[in-house]
Amino acid sequence: MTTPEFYWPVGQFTPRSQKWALRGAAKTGGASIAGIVQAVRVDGGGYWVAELREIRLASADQLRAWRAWEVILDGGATPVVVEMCDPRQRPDVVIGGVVAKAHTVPHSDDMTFSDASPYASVPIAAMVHAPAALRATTLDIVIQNVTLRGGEHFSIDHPVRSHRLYRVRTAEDIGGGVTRITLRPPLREAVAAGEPAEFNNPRCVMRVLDGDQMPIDIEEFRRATANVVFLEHF
Amino acid sequence: MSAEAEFAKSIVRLGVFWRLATTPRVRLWSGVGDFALPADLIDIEGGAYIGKGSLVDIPTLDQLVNGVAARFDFSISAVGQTELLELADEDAANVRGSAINIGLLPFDASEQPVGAMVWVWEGEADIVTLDSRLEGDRRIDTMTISAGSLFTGRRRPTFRHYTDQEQRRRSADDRFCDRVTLYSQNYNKTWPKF
Repeated sequence: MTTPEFYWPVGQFTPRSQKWALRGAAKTGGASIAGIVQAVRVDGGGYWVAELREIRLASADQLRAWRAWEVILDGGATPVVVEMCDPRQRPDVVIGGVVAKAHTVPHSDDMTFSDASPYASVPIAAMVHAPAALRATTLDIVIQNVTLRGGEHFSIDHPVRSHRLYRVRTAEDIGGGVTRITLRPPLREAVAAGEPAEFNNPRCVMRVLDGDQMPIDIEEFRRATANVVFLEHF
Repeated sequence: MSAEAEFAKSIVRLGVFWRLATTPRVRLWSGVGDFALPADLIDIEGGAYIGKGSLVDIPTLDQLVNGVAARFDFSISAVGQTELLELADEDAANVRGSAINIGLLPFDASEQPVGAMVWVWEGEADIVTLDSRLEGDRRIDTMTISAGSLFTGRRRPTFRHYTDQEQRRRSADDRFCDRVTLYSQNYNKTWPKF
């Protein structure tokens, strides 16, 4: 599989709420005499589902763009790269004890650019430290100026499976600047040492659930509220 | 921890693996993503099992005793399975007679396999049928691979009850099944008895 041609324009279609979940299947054997229920998971880790709710489409341009996207995605036949727009929950970059938020970092001599603006954002630089096998759930990564605590998302651009999203489950500093994390879902493809891990804008190759997702109801000929559900594409 | 101990826990993580020994081999599993398995005694080449939601249903599998000619139907999604569809469409003769294996592999808390694959069932693929039906306003395409036991294609009546009489018909002085009548079959034990 090659990387899809299109990236979902989350900046243009901003949802009021979004839900990113790992969906899987558990089977149970029914309640026993004692009421206890046994369960078995057969999904081996689950797949990503992103629900983007209440996307306001107010201008004619937005409505036309949405209609174009409806036919670009072809009811789920065309995969698309969906960026997880979740900047507030991104891990902090701490440089010299100061949280380097966007628009707060000047040059090292405290000077700004000539238009008086400081650096606009502080990207997180992370890479895989040791190779890991397909379906591994433990990964050693080197991540500069960031302390991972669990709950962070990142993606890896795999050679075959393209962008895949992962969530940090636990994180442990094992020294030497290396953080050992456990993650879900299990790695979709083996990774080599030195592959970058994308913490800034984690993304995943997805497709829309079906053709019913995209059509919009236009209110008073001029505006609409849209919802869309994406599934991880295989 | 051994595979048996993993199965004995009350919450089990489990993968169901399905292999059809055609050329090329078809390997599917119940989970999500690819799963690379090393070679073992059944799957002697090993390979990547594909997990993209293909395996729709696995029927209740019986262990076959008394030479029963049972038949099991495996449902597989018929969209996006190019290789399988080609097999069903043009190469049905290749499918017939190929071995089908079902295996279970338990996972530990970090989703890693525990122990070796437990191959629980082996059958012989027989007929492949494609089915397209309408549910509501939606069309659902499935492929059914029917698997039988060694006795499914037989044209003679059953001659396989392990009773003393039948054994002696096969071999007059063989007392191997002499005491079979002492066993009871299909006997329901009521429990609990208050």
